[in-house]
Amino acid sequence: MSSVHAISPDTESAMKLKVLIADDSTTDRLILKRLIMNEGHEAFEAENGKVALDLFSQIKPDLVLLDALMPEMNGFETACEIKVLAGEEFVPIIFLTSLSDTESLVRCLNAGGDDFLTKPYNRIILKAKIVALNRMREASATMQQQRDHIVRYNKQLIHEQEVAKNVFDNIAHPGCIDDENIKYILSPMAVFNGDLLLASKTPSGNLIVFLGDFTGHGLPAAIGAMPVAEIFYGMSLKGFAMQEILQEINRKLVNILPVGVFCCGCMVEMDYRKQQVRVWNGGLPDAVIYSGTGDKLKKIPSFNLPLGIIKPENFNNAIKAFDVGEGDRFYISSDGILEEENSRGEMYGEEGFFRVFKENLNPENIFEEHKQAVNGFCESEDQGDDHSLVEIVFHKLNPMELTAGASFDACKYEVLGPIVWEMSMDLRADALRAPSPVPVLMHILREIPALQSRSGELYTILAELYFNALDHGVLGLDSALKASTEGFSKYYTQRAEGLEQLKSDSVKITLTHYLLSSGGVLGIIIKDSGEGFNSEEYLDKPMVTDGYCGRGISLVRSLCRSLKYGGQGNIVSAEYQWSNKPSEEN
Amino acid sequence: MPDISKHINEEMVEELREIMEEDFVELVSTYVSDSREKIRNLDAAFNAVNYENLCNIAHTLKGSSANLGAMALSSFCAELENLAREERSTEAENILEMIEQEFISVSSILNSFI
Repeated sequence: MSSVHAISPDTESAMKLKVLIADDSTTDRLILKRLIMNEGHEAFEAENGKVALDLFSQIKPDLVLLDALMPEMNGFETACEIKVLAGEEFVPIIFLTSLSDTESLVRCLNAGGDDFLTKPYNRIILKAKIVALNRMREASATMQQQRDHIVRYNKQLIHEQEVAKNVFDNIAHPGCIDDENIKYILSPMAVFNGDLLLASKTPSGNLIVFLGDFTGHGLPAAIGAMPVAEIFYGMSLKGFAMQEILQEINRKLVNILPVGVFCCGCMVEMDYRKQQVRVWNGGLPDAVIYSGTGDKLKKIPSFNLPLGIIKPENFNNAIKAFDVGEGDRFYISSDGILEEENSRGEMYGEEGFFRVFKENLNPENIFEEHKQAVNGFCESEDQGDDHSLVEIVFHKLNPMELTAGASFDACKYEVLGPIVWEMSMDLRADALRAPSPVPVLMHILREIPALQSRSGELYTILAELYFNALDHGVLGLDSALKASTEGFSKYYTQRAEGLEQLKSDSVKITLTHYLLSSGGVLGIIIKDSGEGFNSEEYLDKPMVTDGYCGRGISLVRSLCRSLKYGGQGNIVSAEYQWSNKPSEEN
Repeated sequence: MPDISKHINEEMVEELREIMEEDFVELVSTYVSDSREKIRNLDAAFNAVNYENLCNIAHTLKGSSANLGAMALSSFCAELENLAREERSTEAENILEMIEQEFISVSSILNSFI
């Protein structure tokens, strides 16, 4: 009886229950009604099952006392009907019975009875049963409430996620991911799995792709996606270098993410002009360059900690560069793909992933083969929700076509903004060590609407000339070093050392602009504090088109109306002419 | 007056009186009149050889009698219920007679309580 005492008598008596009594015997009903009322409850009487059902719908009782054998509709049928009427609500039924054989008692339970009360009635037992069943009823009601609450909460959560997803889709959209040369697997709700895929074209026509994998799931994992996407698109479109974008993403994530949340990521830039792919991998599985069939692949393992962990001053944004050719394929994947498990608990792993490359016969089919291999391994399609895989195919394209990266139809616009002007920018040692000033210049040039559609070309010219002035003029680096991948890293080591030692060196950039009858001319003069070089000899050489060390200047020459070196070769002067009529360009 | 304890559990009746308070009189008189009618119905069912009715009425009378402390009457009814189920008419007729006799005692004793 201790359980009965668990609830204080005060709360029990305070609880007034509506009790429905269904019994064909008038005297039994009289006694029960009295017993119920004496306990402080409200009694309703029915002399048979049919009346009981009508009353049940009307009064919605908390408890039903039901005689097993009644005319019209007996207790068993009535109990079944009552359970249907009650639906999800638990309304306890106590069978009133003078039946004593096991079979009949079992029948009562099968019909939906929750307890028995045998005749002659014992008021102590009846009271105890009412208390016990009412406790069950309350527990059930609480459970229903909590379940309803959870359902409501879940609905709200899903709604919020949908709203959030809309916001995310606007900010963390995958950019130019639907380009022909990109294929990917990404769950539609990937952002809530923590996976993020971004792709953008730079003003110089390069393609930058970023795959991120945040720790955790749900909203916490998705939160970090927004600033990453904003920084990625904002900076890549303005022409910031990959290193600068990575540095900024890391700085932002370190600031905003709580401890233990970070972003494994791989950023890759396809440089079509230099026929080079530049990679930064922090915490994602090996990226892969796949050329041809069979074993011809290069793995690029993670060589950094994930984003959002290391303080900005210690962050290593160094990238690795690889030469690529027509048709080479680049792969980035999140670790979800390697961690896929089948029903036997086996992991797909690197083994499964790289077997696809080994067994591949035609590179054109390999992406499909990857998809089939993972799905086949998991033996179900819907498990493929938590892994992301991106394939980028490198195509040698005419760089001129690629400058349409940030295309903008300027012809529709009047010539607005400043018309004739000159500005100059004097960059001293500290400024030379800082990230490239070219994006800032681009920002200024975009004020001239007609130049917006030409920002790709302008970016190429400015970046080439500025970096020539800095790297070769001021720092005196030998561009021949860049001819090999090994030399490339040597080049950048020397460059970093040189920058560190700068003192009184400078690069001065002067831009002038004036209008012609249809269009205008942008003059670019860059003067560096270096020793100069024999420019006549250099410019007299035939245009070099192989290798990327000589390509820069020849490309600038092809874009400009004129290109001249002056001083001791430390001043370069270029004139870029633009026209209102696209057909007259160049 | 017959021996009360053979027919009625006095303790139960006293408890009922306590529980029912002012409704006790109504309870007893309702029981007596209802039971008289049920016994008439038992006779009718027996004469009509309707074992199902015989069984059901005996079952109800068994329950209500037990609630009023008429334990002997209740157990005669239980016996009749079983016999009716097994359609044993001779024995049923005997027990029906005993029920009628018992009811006379029960009703007179119960009436004395009010």
